[in-house]
Amino acid sequence: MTEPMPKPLFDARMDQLGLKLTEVEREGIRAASRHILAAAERVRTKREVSVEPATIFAPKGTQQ
Amino acid sequence: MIPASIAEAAKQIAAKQVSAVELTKACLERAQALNPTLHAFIRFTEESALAQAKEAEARQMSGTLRGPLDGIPIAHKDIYETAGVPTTGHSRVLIDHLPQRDAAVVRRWAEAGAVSLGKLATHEFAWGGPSFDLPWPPARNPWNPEYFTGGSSSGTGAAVAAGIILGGTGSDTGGSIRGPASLCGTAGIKPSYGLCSRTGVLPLAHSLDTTGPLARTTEDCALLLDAMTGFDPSDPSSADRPKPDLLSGLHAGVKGLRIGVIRHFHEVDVTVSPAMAAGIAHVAETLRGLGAEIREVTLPPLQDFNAAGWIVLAAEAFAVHEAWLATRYRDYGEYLRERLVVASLISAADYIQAQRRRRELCEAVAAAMRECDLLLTASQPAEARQIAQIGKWSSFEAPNFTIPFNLTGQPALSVVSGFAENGLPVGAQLVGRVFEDAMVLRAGHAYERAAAWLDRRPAL
Repeated sequence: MTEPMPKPLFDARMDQLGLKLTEVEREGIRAASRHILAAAERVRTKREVSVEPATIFAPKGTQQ
Repeated sequence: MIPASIAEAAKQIAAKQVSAVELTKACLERAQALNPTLHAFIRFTEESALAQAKEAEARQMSGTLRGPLDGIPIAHKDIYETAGVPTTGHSRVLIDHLPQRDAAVVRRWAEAGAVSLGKLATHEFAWGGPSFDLPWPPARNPWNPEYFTGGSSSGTGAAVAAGIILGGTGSDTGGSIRGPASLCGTAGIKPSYGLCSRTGVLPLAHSLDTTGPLARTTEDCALLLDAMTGFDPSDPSSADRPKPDLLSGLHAGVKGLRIGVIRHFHEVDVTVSPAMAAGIAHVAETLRGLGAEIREVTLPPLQDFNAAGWIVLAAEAFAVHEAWLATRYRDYGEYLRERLVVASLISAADYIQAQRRRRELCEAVAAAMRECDLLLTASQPAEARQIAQIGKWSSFEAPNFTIPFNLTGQPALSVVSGFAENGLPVGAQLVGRVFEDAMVLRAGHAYERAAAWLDRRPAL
């Protein structure tokens, strides 16, 4: 099972957001972070560096 | 007094056997009698409903009805903006939000003559529920009010299943139409991405959000969806293509269609309840009996779709709510605000990797659909659970069967496929190729006519 986000990193992210959370709230949310971290790990499949671009910009009027 | 379906009501209205005004009054009375138990509505618009019904009745009497939705009582999920009627997203954050104009889909149903009875409960901003710390309580399942409706189109599922309205709007970003349809025992279609306008609908995740209807039957969904479709230049996601014909082939049956059962989704990747497994088998066997060819299809694991889907959904949702989260954190309910904080932990690289995986998954499904016309899978892992059992992180804890087709943009319909021993309904999901919504509706309609599930109604 994927571990939750390390506490120092999590605390830094919360400080960046500027949210005032209780310690109980922080720990509950940090524990749930494992779900997102597991998903982030799972979407990283092996592929050649140039394949499967995710962000293709097609200006209006150029799409078929 | 209240007909069982839109198709039936439309016939009665056209034949002047039922008055549009009396039908609206009957639905309002039923709504007000059941709402203290079901909490399906958060706001009634009785005065305007009766005014709309009177106009419909005038057309009824003069033989100038606009079509099958004229005089039909419906309601809108409270993320659809309605001119002069508060649209809150079931949230304290937008408690005073009074839109100046209707959402495009609201306007289209109104132009078709549908009578709106009010605004329906939703999970907060279509993601935060079922929550008990919001301005209104969560909707309850008409089959047993101790049980969950599914979400986020919770009020729509409850009100349709209870026979309060004949149809309503939902929205579907990861399963929010098909979940309530399955758990409340209704039909519900998430149309192809881009088929229906989202202008004036509060967003959850822009690359996944889809508007669509719930109704008791697939035929009714087809009638409602037909009035929702059409290019909308004000919605960047709207597909600039001709309005599809969803109705003329509805009764054509499934003879010769190739239907791929994604067996590993519900037998290997996730274990479903016996009733859900039996429901999928029943749909497959019934459609085979009607002349379809049933085959097995293998896709990447359900967990792969969920990983990509939840990263995309959560990251996009955080982007929508970032500013309010910083300034109005405690105005959100606990479930949504904490889910959004978890979403804030997703990095830009996570999001892009998820979108790369999404493209691969889309290609895998498209390849499978070169060999079949429709896919069949579960709508949910099981029948409804007790509402008290639905936790803050429940959507992350087990893979769902619906988000794969938000990722791919395909049309996906949930139909009632049976009942569990405790009397709660289950739904199966039929999925088509993008913009082949008509074929999905055709198969769902064929199944419903052959199965007898819709004869059952909640004992209210």
